Amino acid sequence: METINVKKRKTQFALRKLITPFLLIIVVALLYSIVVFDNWLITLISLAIGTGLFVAYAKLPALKTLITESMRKDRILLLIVGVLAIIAVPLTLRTQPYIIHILIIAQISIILALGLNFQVGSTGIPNLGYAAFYGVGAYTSALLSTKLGVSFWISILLAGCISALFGWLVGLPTLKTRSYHMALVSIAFGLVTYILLNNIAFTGGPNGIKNVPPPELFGKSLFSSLRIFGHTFPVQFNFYYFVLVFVLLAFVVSRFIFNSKVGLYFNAVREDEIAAKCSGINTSTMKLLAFSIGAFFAGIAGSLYAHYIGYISPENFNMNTSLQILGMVIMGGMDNIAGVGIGAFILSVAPEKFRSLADFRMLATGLIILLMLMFRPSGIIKQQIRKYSSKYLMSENSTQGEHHG
Amino acid sequence: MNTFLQLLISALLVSSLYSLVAVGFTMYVGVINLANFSHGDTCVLGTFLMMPLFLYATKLGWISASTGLVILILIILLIFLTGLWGAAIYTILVKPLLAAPRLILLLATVAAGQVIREAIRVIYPNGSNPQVFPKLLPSGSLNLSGITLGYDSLTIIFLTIICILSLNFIIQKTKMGVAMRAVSQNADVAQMMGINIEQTIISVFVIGSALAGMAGILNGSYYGITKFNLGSNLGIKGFSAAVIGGLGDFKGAIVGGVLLGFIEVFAAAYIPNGSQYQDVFSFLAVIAFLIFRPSGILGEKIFEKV
Repeated sequence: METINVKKRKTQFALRKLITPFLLIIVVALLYSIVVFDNWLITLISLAIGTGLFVAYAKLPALKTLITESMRKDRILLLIVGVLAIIAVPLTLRTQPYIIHILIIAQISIILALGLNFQVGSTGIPNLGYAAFYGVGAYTSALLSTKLGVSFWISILLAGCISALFGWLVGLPTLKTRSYHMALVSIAFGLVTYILLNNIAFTGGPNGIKNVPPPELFGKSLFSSLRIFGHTFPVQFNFYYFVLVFVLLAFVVSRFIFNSKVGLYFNAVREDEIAAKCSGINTSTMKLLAFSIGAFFAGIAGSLYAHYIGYISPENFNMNTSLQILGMVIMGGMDNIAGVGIGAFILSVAPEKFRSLADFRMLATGLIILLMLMFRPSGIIKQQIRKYSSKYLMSENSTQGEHHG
Repeated sequence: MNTFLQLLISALLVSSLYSLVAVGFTMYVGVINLANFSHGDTCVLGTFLMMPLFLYATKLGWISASTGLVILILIILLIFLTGLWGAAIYTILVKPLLAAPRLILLLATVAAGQVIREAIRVIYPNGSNPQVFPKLLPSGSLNLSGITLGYDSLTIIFLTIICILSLNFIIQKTKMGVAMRAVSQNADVAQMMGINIEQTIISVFVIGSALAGMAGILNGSYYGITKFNLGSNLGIKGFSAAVIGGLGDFKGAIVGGVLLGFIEVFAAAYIPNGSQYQDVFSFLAVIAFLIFRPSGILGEKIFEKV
C-alpha cells in the first residue's frame, strides 16, 4: 500500500511540474495564432478558445489554485520565457513588417492604457477625453520637430510635460464636483481639442502634420534598416525595441506608483473621498496628480506615435480613440497593471485581424465595454488585494505611523 | 436691430432644443443621481425611427391626404416608442447596476450611447452618411416689418413650451409628480410613505426619453438632416445646460438651456470667426460655472456629508 501511495504521489508531483510548461505552450500557441496569422477565422477561434479557457479558470476553483500555485513556483521560468519571447518575436517576423507594425501600435496602446488606468482605475475619475491628451502630446512633439527642428529626445520630454500641464488644467475645475461633472469636463475638453486642431492653421487643420522626422539614436536615424549577419531587417524592427524600452519604463513606473503611498492614496480617494480627507489625504492634490501622470503617459505615447508614423491628423485623436482606450482599461481590469496591459494588447491586435469587418469595430468596442461592466466589472484580471508584509508594517510604524486604508 | 431680433428667434429655437434634452438629464440626476450619457443618442434614435415610419406612411399615401393629422399621429407614436426605449434602458442597463459603484454605471451609459450610435450606423442603410430628414413642420414664413419668422421655428418654440408646461403640470399637480419630487428629495423616506420607487424611476426614464425623442425629431426636421453621431454633441450640450441651470432642478434645466442657446447663437454672430468655435464658447461657459458656481444657477449648494 505504501509503495503505491508513494508512486501515486510521485506521478502527481511529476504531473504538477508539467502544468507550467503546458500552460506556456497553450498561451504561446494562442498568441502566435492571434498575432501572426492574418486570417480572421483563426483569430476568432483562438480568441474563443482563450475565452473558454479563461472562463474555466475563473469558474473552477480547483483549477484556479492549481494554476496559480504552479505559476508561483515556476515564476522564474515564466519570466525568462516571457522576456525571451518578447525579444525574439520580431526576429521570427523578419519578412512580415506589417505584423511588427501591429505590435508597435499595441505597445503604444499599452502605454496609453497604463496612463488612463491612473485616472479611471486607481482614482476612479472618469476621463472620457483621454485621446485629447494623446493628441496634445503628438502635436507638441510633431510641431517642435518639424517647425523648430528640435531633436526627438527633447520634444518627447516636452510633449509629456505639456500634456501633463493640460491634465492638471483639466483637473482643476473638477476638484469640487462629482464624477459626472468630471465626465462632462473631459468630454468637453476632448471635443474642444478636436475642434481647435481642425480649425487652427498652425496645426495644419484637418490635413494634420506630415513628415515628422523619425527619432535618432547614436547619431543614426531609426528609419535606416539594420543589417546584421547579411540579413536586412525592416525599419519596424528598430522601432519595436525602441518603443519596448518605453513600455517597460511605463510598467516600472506604474508598478512603483501602485506600490507607493501615492497609489494607496489614489485608491482611498476612489473608495471614499470624505474618509480619505478625514485621514489627512489631500484629495485635490491626488486627483490633480492622477490627471497629470495619466496625461504625461499619453503625451509620451503621442510623441512616439507621431515620430513612428510620421503623419498625424485630428482624426487620430477623436472621441472614438478615447473610448477605445477606455475599453482597454475596463476589459483588462481597472487598477490592475498586468490586466490593463493584456486588455490593451488584445483590443489593439484583434481589430487588425478583423479588418474585413472594420465597420463593426466601434460597435464591438462599445459592446465589449458594456458587457464587461455588466457581467465582469473587475475585468480580465481582478484588482490585486494589497498585501502588507510585517516588514512593511513595521517600517511604517517606526517612522511616524501614518495609517491609511 | 432687425438682425438682433432675428438672432433672438434663432437663439430661442436652439434654446428650446437644448432645454428639451436637459430636462431628461436633470430628472435622472434628481431621482437616482445618475448622469445618463446615452441620453443624447436617444434623440438620434428618435430621428432614425421616424424616417422609416414616415417613408411607410408616404408609401401608403397617407401623407398627401391629411398631412397635419398624420404627422401629429406619427410624432405621438414616436414619442411613445422613445419613451418605451427609456424604460428598456432602465430595466436592462441601469437597474442591474444600481448597486455597483457609480463610476461603473456612468461608464456603462457611455458605452450604451456608443452602442446605440454605432448600431444605427451599421444597421441603417448607408448609415455612415448624413440622411435627409423629412420636413415635418409647416414651411413658409411670416414677414413682420423686415423680420422673417419661419413657421417651422415658431412651431418648435410653441411645441417646446407646450411640452414644458405639461411636464410642469405633471410634476406639480399629479400624484406621479409628487412621487417624483418625493423620491428626488429622499428615496428612503418616500418608500416608507408608500411610494413605489421602481415605478417612479421608470416613469422618469419614460418621460425623459420621450422628450429626448421629441428634441431629436424637432432638431432633424428643422435642419432637414440627421446623422448617426449627432447625438453625442446634442447630449453633451443638454447635459451642459442641465449643469449650468443646476442639476436636479427642473426649472434650472430650462434656464440653463436658454442661457446656453443664447451664448451659442450670439457668440457665433458677434465674435469674428465665431461660428467655427461656437461649441468652444459653450464649453467655456460650463467650465466657468463648474469653477465658480458648481451647483448651477438655481441649484442648491450641495454639502457632502459623512
